[in-house]
Amino acid sequence: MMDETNRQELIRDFRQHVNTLYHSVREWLDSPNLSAKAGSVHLNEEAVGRYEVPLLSILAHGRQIAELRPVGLSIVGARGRVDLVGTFDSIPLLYLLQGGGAITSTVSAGEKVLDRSSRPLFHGVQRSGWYWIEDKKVGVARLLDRSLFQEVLARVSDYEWR
Amino acid sequence: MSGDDPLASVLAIYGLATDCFRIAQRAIANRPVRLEGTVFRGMRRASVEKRIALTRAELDALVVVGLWAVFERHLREYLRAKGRSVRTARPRVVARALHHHTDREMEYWKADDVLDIFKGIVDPSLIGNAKQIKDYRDWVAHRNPRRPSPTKTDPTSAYTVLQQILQRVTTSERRATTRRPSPAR
Repeated sequence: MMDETNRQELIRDFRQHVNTLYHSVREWLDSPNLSAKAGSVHLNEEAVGRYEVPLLSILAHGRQIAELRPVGLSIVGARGRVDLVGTFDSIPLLYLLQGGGAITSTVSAGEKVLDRSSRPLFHGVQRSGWYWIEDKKVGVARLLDRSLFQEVLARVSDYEWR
Repeated sequence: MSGDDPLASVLAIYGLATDCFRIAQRAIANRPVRLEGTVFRGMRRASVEKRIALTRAELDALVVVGLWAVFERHLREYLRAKGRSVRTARPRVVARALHHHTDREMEYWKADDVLDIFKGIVDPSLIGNAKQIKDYRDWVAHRNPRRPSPTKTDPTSAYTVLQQILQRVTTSERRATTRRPSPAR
């Protein structure tokens, strides 16, 4: 495990990203039928140990239809993950940094470099934020905004926006 | 390396399975369903929904295990094919014995060491991501709930990382064979 200062910093950043996400989601629940309820969850990761982080339940007519459940801050290719878990499905939301983690590849013959190219791990990351890597369009990251949130909430819960 | 994207079939099965889960949950939620002959027989609707949701969550972890298995097999087969060139070295009797030895031992090489062999053609950060996927695979496979979770991944991200590595290996192989230097005169 890392030193305490780094650990606290990582946890603080992750909580901040999660709270930003929840703040946006509360704004996007702009239907009188929908509401949100705050909670918390304890996570235990090799990188940072045990810590507490908020979760958010989404309710329709007072009944829970989905939950934004933090998974961790130590995530392959990302700086955090929160799953949107609904009655019918679950999708991971990743916190990605601008550029999406550039990858440089080199082709060489002996000492001679034949080709060097650089490209992002995930395409479409114009700025840091919460993204959905759609399973049917692999490698393409879609920034979570009001319209995408409505789409993914419908996907996991069958909720019909009117 | 055989096939342009050996991991695609695993991801396609994953997509199909998640849709099946969704259909099952809808069927359970919307009307009475015959549960005879299934593990859900005699269970209340809420229990059925919960069980399906838990299995759905389990599927993600198992798909990462499956993706890793296919990925690792391809890398080892690639190295095995490369190792065959040793057989033509001289003296032949030593070369054949050496090939026999490495071919047999290759199966026992650690996954991290196998990945490190490709650092010359694949970005080290991508190799690092692959090692994290391997650690996650081990954590899922050994199921020790007391152990804190390593760096986690999901099927789509794992596929993205592993597929890019296989793609780099294939591209490098093609370029190396088409740009082979002409023999010295």
